[in-house]
Amino acid sequence: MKLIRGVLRSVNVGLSYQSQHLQIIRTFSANTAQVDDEGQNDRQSMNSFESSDDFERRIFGDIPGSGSKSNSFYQKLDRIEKAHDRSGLGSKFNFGKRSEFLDGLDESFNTLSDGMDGKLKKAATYFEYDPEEIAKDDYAFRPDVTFRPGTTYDTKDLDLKKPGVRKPFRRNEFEVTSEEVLKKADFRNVRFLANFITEAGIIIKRNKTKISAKAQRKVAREIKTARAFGLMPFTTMGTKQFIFGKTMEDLDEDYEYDTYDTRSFVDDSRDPLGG
Amino acid sequence: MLLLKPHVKKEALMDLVARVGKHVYRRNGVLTDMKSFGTVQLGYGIKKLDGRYYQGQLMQMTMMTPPSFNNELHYLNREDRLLRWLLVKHRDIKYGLEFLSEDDGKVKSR
Repeated sequence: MKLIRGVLRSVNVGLSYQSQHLQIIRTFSANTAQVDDEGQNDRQSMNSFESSDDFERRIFGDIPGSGSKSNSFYQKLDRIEKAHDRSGLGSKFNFGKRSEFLDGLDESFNTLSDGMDGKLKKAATYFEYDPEEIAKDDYAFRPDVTFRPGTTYDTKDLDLKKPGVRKPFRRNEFEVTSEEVLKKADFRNVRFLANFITEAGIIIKRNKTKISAKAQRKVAREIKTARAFGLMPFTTMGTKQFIFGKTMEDLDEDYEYDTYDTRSFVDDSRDPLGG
Repeated sequence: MLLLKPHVKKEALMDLVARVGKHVYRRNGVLTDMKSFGTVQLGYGIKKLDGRYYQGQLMQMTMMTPPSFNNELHYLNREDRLLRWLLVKHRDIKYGLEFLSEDDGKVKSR
C-alpha cells in the first residue's frame, strides 16, 4: 500500500508538471480552442482529469508519507478519549471508584452496575405531590371525571387505577308515549305542551319527540292554537325561555347574575348578624 | 273560550258572559258548562290599545248552539275588555264523562 502510494505520488508529480505545462500552452492557445480537433479535446480531458486528481490529492493532504503515523495518532487519541469518557462516567456515578480500572474497563464495566438503576427506580416511583391538597379549593379526587350533581357513581368509578369513564350527560329529558300525548295534548294544557318547544320556542321535531305522526300533528296543532290564543310564545329568541306559569315580561331579575337558590341559608346566616 | 284583560272586575266579566249567554238562548241553544281558569301567564305580550298584557283571565263556556253561532260572536272583536276569544268545535261528544279536557258540548265558546 505504501509502495503503491509512493509510486502514485511520483506519477502525480510528473503529471502535474506536465499538466502545468499543458495548461500554459492552453492559455496561450485559448483563442484557437474553439477550433480544436478531436485529439486535442481528448488530451484536454485527460489533462483535466489529471489535474482534478492532483487537486484531490492536495486537498486530502499528505496521506502517503504520514499515513501510518497519523493513524497511530488518531488511534491514540481515540483511546484517550474513550478512557476519559469512562472515567468521567465512573466518577459521576461511583465517585472515582473505577479510576483504577481505566485500562481493563471493558470486562467489568456494564450498565447494570453503574448505580443508574436505583436512581431510575426512584425517579419512576416518586412523584411530586402536595400533602395538603385535599384541603385546597380545587381539589378533586378524580380530576379526569366530572361528577355532575344528581348523577350517581359506584365504587368502580372511584378506582384511580382505571381510566375515568366519561358518562354521557343525559339531561332529564321529557319522554312521552303517543297515547299520553293524544290524551293530554290540548291548547289549554300549556304545562304539557311547553315540553314540546325548545328554548327558543320552536316545536321539537318528531325524531326527537319519538311519538307517532298522528300525535305529533296533534301536538303541533295544539301548540299553534295556543300560540294564536296568546298562551304560548311564537318565538323566544332573544328573550328568556318560556316556562309555564312564569310571566314573559322583562323583569329586572332576569338581567341579574345567576344566584344560587340559598335564600333560606342566607337568611339563617343573616339573622345572627342582624340580631 | 274567553281571554280577558287581567284588571277586569268580576261584575264586568259577568256582564260579558251574561251577554253571550243571552245570545245562546236567543238561538235556542243551551249553556252546559262554565269554567274559570283564573289568571294565566301569557306566552307573549298581547298589545292592545292601552298597552301590553302579559297576564290574562281565562274563562271557558261550553254550549250547544246552531252552527251559525260563530258569526254572531263576531261582535266580541269590538269588546275592549277581551284580549282574545276563540270558538272550538267539539265533534266527538262524550256526555256525562268527566274527561281530562273536562268539557263536552256541541260548540264551545272560549
